[in-house]
Amino acid sequence: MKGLLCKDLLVLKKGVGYSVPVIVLMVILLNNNFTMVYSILFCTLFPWSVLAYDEQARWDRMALMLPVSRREIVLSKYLIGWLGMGAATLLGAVNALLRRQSGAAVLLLASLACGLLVMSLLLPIMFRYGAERGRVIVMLITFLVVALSTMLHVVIEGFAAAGHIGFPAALLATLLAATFSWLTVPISVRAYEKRVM
Amino acid sequence: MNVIEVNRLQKRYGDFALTDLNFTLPEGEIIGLVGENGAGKSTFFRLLMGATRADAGEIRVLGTDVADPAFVEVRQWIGVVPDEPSFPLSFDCRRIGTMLSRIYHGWEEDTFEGYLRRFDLPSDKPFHQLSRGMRMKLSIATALSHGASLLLLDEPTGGLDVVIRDEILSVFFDFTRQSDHSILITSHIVTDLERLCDRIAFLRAGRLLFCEEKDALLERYALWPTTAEQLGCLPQQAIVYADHGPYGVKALVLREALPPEAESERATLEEIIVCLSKGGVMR
Repeated sequence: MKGLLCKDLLVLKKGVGYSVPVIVLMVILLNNNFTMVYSILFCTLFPWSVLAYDEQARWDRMALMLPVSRREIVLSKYLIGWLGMGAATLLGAVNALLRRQSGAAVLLLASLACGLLVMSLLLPIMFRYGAERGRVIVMLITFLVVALSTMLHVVIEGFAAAGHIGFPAALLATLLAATFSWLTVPISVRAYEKRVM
Repeated sequence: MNVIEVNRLQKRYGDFALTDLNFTLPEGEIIGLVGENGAGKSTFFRLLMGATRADAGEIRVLGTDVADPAFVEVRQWIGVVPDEPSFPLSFDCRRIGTMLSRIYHGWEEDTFEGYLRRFDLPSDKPFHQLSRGMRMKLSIATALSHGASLLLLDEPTGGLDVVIRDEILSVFFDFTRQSDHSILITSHIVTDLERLCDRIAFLRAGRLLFCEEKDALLERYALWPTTAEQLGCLPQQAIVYADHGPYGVKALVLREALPPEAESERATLEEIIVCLSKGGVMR
């Protein structure tokens, strides 16, 4: 598992590593709600990026002959997504704290919940059909990421201002999304087992 | 003890099927698996590693059923070289070694470094820049660097020049000096198998036609350059394959059935395999 995770992180660095400093700078320098939401939702692409790279290198076929289980392969991709989203949320939180921005916590948690849902809904499909065959799905994710980023901060700001969403509700939504995400791991494992390689 | 036991294996992919396959690899032996392209050799390897599920039948490798979740740990003791070695494209040899050291408990860094030097592999060149031969050598180096007792080698000498092939074969010979080390190898270069293997298995269109001792095969058959009339005097069940040309017939026959005056030639393993692949009947 440790070996797979290290490999996935290095592959990710190669694949999307160039865009991470740009996003970090955007969050810090632009300091607006859109970049904060976008930075979290962008991380939903991490597992797909690694899966696509593995397929291109035919590493996915090789990995199944190593002493690692399909569950570990799947879990490693989830971890990449969870770690990415966690780091982006932390970055947004630190940025907001330093700038004493109130209300950022609700937005961050709601974005995290959305990111977890999007990733967890799409990963089983990726594992079943592969990242290349699921390219249409990836285009859908990209569209969802941008559309959600654009809409989410407006909607949540409005609701939060009207007092409809408070911190406890956002926290509950995030916890539910995290639970849902964890529950989709076995579904992804089963989908991966059915995949013909 | 058998390190590989396959009983009544069935696997179907579209219109291709491995059918009712029975196979054993005893501990300490080297078996060469031959067959045409598409005969099912690579599929068989993937089934042995539990990377693909069988439709029916049982496969036990190193005493464990490959369908058992515990088989994942058994893979620690199997060195595998697939027909198309695949590692992350941007990783160089050293990084691949580091990654595998976190996957294999018994990873031997010094052994791996030794093979990198011995095979003249650049440690800083990314995998995608390596030639097919270099990739194969790297794959062999990784298979030999984690204390495996069983090697599954799918075309390991493909794409290698004569000198390197010779070197690789001697590495495999060294590996089997330990009495509990075994190898299952496929190759289209039958001369390599003739040098290396104790037994030869022949797979045709998803069926295992035979798995026999190499020396017994070479002893049993002979090539007989003759005429159609003379060949006709031989019982049909003694003829494996006959190639009728404008200057006569060249037939692969059972040596024991030949008349004493017949001037036959020793059949090489390659000639036996070619005759069987062309539709010859195993006698």
